[in-house]
Amino acid sequence: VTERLTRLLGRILHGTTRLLPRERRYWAEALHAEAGQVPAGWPRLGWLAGGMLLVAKEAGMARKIGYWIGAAAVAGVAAWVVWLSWRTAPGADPERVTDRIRVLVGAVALIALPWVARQRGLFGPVGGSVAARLVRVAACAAICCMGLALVRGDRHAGINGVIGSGSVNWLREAAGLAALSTGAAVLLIIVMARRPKTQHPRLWGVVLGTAALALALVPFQAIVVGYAALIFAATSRRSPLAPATLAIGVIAGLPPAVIYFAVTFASGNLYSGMLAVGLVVLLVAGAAGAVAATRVTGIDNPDELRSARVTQGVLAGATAGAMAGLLPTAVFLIMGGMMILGPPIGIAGAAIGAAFAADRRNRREALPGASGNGSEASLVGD
Amino acid sequence: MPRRVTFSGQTLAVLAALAGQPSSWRHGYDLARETHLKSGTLYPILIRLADRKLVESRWEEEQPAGRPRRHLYRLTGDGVAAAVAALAEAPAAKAPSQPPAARRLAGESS
Repeated sequence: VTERLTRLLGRILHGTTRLLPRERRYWAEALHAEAGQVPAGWPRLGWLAGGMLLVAKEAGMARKIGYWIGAAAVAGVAAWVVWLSWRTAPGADPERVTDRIRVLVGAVALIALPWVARQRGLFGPVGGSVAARLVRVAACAAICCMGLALVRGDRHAGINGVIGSGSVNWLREAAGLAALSTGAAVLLIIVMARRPKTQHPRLWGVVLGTAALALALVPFQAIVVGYAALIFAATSRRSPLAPATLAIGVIAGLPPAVIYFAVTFASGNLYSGMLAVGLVVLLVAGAAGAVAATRVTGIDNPDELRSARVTQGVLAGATAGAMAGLLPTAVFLIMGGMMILGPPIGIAGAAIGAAFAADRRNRREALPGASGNGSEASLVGD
Repeated sequence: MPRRVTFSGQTLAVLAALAGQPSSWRHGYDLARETHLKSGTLYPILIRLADRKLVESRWEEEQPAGRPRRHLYRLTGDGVAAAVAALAEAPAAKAPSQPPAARRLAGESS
């Protein structure tokens, strides 16, 4: 049996060597060539199994498999969204075409998510830190949840639903067109992401104008698209957020999200929850901003150091505010108000905290013998 | 400023095995036996060391009878220097868990 298994594994190893980049293939061939020297039986089988492991490692199989599983999951959600919508809309609905196009645009956007995330440029590929990878995967899952919840909720929403049936409403027809324009804008953004060196101010003007129109007509969809873009930008390799800043912001955003749920359901009043979570975000973002700011070290110029610290602090606060809005909204769409209010409140709180922390550290570092000797900024966890 | 490079215990074992006979070309199975590392661990280490130009490799020049040509490895000049420095700096506490070759070389260079 082991002899057959050994032969089989040898053939598989020989075949899978092609998965490796050309300049790495000879390593697997070298391992395969050595197999004849290893004693027959289990030792040789183990040697060849190690070769399979080598191919898997060097070909980045785990990452590729993870990507395709993620892509399949997102495509599955998109298909579910389309199916739910098709099943719901009655055949005689005059708005059916617009509605379905709107759903299709949403589904295409969902399918494009993993692809956009992979492109080299503003939105990808993902940064090397664990925090960036986790945040990106979790945020994609949250956005998929929101898409599903929107369509599922709409089945019970009657004629006033976002995708529901009803008589002709010109405002909604215009919204449908705006959604289509947003889809086109997403395509432009994808093009820009693929070719980051291309600078077209007019193109960006069109995109921003369309986004503003979409924000007025289909606010929720526009906000979600904006969130997706910001999350990709924040977790990409070119992101200005240090891994530590991202981690601090995400962790700081969790308690306000829980408090938002607790207060809203305890009081039965959404506005009470928003008020409470707004105050908590302000406080927590202040602390997160201060902590993120103090993680920046190693810049000799005090002005540059202060500026870098405030920037990282503010980014941590914005992340905390965004998380406090995104997480509850992924579960209950009605809580989506904090997706708009969270980031500015977080930025406000963090700006105060970061400014305080940056100044205090500067004074300490100005003491004789306390200055850093590094020539470049270093961010803990980078 | 050059980044200080640290090696894992397993990499130190491979470096020690190669540094034991710096002028000899060694083959993978030979190294695996000496370091007690599995092929799936040994070869990625050799790849990383080769990427850092600490190890050089070549195929056997002549086709031996009855078996395929083997891939051979040895330390470069930089590799020898890096191995000696790394093994000298390796914490003593790690030594017992290292294979014999690593312990031997660490002891020699300290």
